Amino acid sequence: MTAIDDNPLQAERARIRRAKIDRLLIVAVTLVGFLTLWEIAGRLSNPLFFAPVSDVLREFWLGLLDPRARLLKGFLETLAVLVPGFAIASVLGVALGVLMGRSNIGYQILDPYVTIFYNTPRVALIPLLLLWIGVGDLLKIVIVVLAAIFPVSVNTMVGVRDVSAQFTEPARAMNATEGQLLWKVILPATFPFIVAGLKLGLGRALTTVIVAEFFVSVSGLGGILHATSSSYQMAKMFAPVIILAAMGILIDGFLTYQERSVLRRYRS
Amino acid sequence: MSPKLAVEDIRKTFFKAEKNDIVGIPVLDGVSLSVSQGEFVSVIGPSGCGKSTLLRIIDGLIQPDQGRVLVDGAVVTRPGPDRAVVFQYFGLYPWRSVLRNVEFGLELKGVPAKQRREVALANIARVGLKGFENHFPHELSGGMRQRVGFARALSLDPQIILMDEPFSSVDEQTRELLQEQLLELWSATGKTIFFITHSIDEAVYMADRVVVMGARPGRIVEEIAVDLPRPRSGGVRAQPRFGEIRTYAWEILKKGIQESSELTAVQ
Repeated sequence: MTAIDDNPLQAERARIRRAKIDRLLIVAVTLVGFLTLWEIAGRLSNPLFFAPVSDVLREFWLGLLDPRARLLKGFLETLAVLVPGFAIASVLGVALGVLMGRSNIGYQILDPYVTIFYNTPRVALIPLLLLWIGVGDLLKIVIVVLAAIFPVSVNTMVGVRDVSAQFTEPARAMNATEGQLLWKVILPATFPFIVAGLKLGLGRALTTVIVAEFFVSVSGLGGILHATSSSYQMAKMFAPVIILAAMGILIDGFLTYQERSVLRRYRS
Repeated sequence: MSPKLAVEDIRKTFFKAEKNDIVGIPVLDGVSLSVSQGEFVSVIGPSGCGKSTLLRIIDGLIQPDQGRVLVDGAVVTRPGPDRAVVFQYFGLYPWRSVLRNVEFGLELKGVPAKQRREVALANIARVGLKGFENHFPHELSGGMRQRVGFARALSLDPQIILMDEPFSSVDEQTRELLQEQLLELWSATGKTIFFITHSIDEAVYMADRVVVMGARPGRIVEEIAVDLPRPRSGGVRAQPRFGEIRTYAWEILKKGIQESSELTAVQ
């Protein structure tokens, strides 16, 4: 019998530490394995169709150092569409969801259209919107808004309808106005649903901004993706992909963090 | 002296959907009651007798079909600052700290931040939760949560406090402590209390008068004056008079329940 076994607290600490190390080890080994396979596959395959990870990382690094800053410019162009588009979709989506969740008339009027829009691939509307709005950033922003707004509004609506009378009744008993009820009770109570909607909407916005940059006017990270892949520069093509992935993970991570820190309180 | 609170011939029917149609369920069938300034009135009755509906009508959360509620002679049409409710389910907001929960009613009234903080802190201390101001409801026990509910009601400085089975979701020991604390707060503040409970023991222990309601449709079948000395503490329960009143209240309540089950059987 060892000394550690004599002390259950220390034994438990050691067990938790070992489990943590094991977890990290599994992640590390898998990652190294994945990168090795990628490298081998990249070297064996036709460079027109695939690139080894070492070339990809080198091109990414060179892209960051590029004096003409094409990657950075593309990134900013994409942000210039994504940020206003997602912001507008979030605000309008929440407003739409609250309207449909709180008002029966609002629900009856809007629900059929939201259902139709939600289930129509928004990309199919691009040709029409192109005619109406013309080529430009405005069109791309509109496309992003259309892509992201419905998951936000549908989630918000479900959340608003789900708000328990145990939240609204005390506020009403304390003479809350409709506005106070909305801002101080309904919206905070709906917060977990809104964040879930924003996460879904974000995924759609990211996808759609790239699609728009392919088809509407070649610009941004989507434009770089388009240019490099059509000229078979496979290693270069991965740079915008890496940036897109990082963006998605960062924003999603931020929302998940917000969600968790607040959700902790909601469970009781 | 005119009563603090007068309930006059309140009738209320709820509607329920049933097979492509709706049926009316009479919940309150002519309830009249008056409560004096500073009085502690308990209401007991079988489940579903409309006790909670009556409380909500008194607060103005629900409108009666007939009859009216008067506070100091003025008709109640909606919730007002002269009444505060303490709920069975506590009614706290999980995203607000204890302090911000207690401040909530004052915030809704537009009381300036500094002033409402002072009032809230004083009332948190009064219910014995000093040091827990920045805790969140999920970090508190049921008894502590309900004390936050008291503090919130007291912060509004109402004249009447309406309590809807405030202790039925806390454990037995906590319940007795909360009962004593509420009696202390009541005698210190002189508020009028309308207290709904399903416990006969609690009703008798707390109140000046116990109102017994009969089963659906709810109506008042008897009012029992509780002539036990005050201040009361746990020892009151050992007095023979306490047992007598308790037994009497139970006899009446039982009769009401049996009548209603016979009625149901005949139907």
